[in-house]
Amino acid sequence: MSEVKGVLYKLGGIFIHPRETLELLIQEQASPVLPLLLFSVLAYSLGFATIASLFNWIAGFFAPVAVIGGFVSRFAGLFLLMAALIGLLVYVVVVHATATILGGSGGFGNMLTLSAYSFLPNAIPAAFLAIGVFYSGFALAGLALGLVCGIWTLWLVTVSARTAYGTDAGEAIISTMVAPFVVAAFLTFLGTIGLAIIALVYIVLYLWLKERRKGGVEV
Amino acid sequence: MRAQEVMGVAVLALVAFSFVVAVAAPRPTVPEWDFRNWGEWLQGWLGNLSWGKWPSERFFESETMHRTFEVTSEQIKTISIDMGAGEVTLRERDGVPTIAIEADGKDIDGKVTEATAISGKTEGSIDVEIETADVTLYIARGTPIELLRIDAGVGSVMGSATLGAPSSIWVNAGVGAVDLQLTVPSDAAVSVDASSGLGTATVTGEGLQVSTTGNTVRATAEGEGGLVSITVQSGLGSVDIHIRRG
Repeated sequence: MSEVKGVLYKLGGIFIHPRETLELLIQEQASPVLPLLLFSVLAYSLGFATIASLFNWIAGFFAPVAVIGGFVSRFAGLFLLMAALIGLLVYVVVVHATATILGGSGGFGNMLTLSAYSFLPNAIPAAFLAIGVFYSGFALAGLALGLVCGIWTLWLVTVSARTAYGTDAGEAIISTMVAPFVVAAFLTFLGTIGLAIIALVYIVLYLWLKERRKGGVEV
Repeated sequence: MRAQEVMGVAVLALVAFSFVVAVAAPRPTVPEWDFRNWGEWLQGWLGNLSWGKWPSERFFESETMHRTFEVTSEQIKTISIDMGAGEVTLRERDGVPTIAIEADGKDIDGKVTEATAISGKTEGSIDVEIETADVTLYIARGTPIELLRIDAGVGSVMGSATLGAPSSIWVNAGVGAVDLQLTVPSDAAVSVDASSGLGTATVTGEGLQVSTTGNTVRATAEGEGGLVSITVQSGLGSVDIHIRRG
């Protein structure tokens, strides 16, 4: 029973006392299984509910859309689930690499766990979008809440980076927002070449900063 | 329980709720849909867009909408029913002053009492928007109606009613069939415009002058006791209208 209470305490703590809870999760070396499971469920629900609400709305004035709506909604749920899991892994790799280059020290697993926990506020728009499958007004509210909770999630991830790597706020923002944005832009516009450039820049920066720090100690 | 634990329960409840909906939500369905008829249906549906408008927009530009009637306090100015799917049935009921609307057997006249129905009532008009329920519209015998607008989406519209004059009825069943038996005053003028994109359209009645062009049937009858105007269209299903003078 106390274990269940402990889990509930951490889930609720993300909303009420995020810094303290994220610190607690690091100290406990929390397993990523539960947050990743919740992350997957939320990603699937958000994908399904958004597309299903859209199709139901269109079917209101163009009925034949309903024929493909059920299939497409479920496909969207699975697609977003896979994309979100892959995206989360890539995102945490970028955050980990950037935070490490900037002098932070922390485990990849910890950051993965905290990032998945940081996605929890999206349970609110997911519930609204789920009701929106039946009443389209809720879907609009869900999309608006999604924007707010997206910003909330970004803030939680930044706090997570500070907690996991012991960086300051500026380094955490660079790790969780600036670097992933730059990487995404390079990958989007330059594809494989962009990936090669990013990998090269990260390796060079890592080696250079490593040498610099080593030199600093000797002096 | 501490606040965090209560919040934890709420979070799990939200996650579980959204997931259950994602897994168990009813899939949108189109009744009696025949995929082989897709091309033909589309052709018929596009036929309804011959004025370059959506079928429902086309109606609002028709003269029926702009015709002015003298409305007494007992008349209903406008009844508008928007359906995603499900059937609309017209029925007569004596003893009700004007009309009553039921969705899946429950009264929704002017109030939100049904989970699947949203309705609002403003002075002189009733708007009902329904996702999938079957709707029955009871009309008191001989009630004049300025405008009864039924947009049944994929459902059918059927039933019978005795209308007063002047009355104006507009029905759109995108995929479903329309089958109406309407009784009009013996001295009323009648104007019927019935079209079916893919199926057949027939209009029968006493003293009607009928002309047919493709799947569109127009019928008129002269009279001095006010006009009963009926505009009906169905994209895929057949249209059957029978007018009786009573």
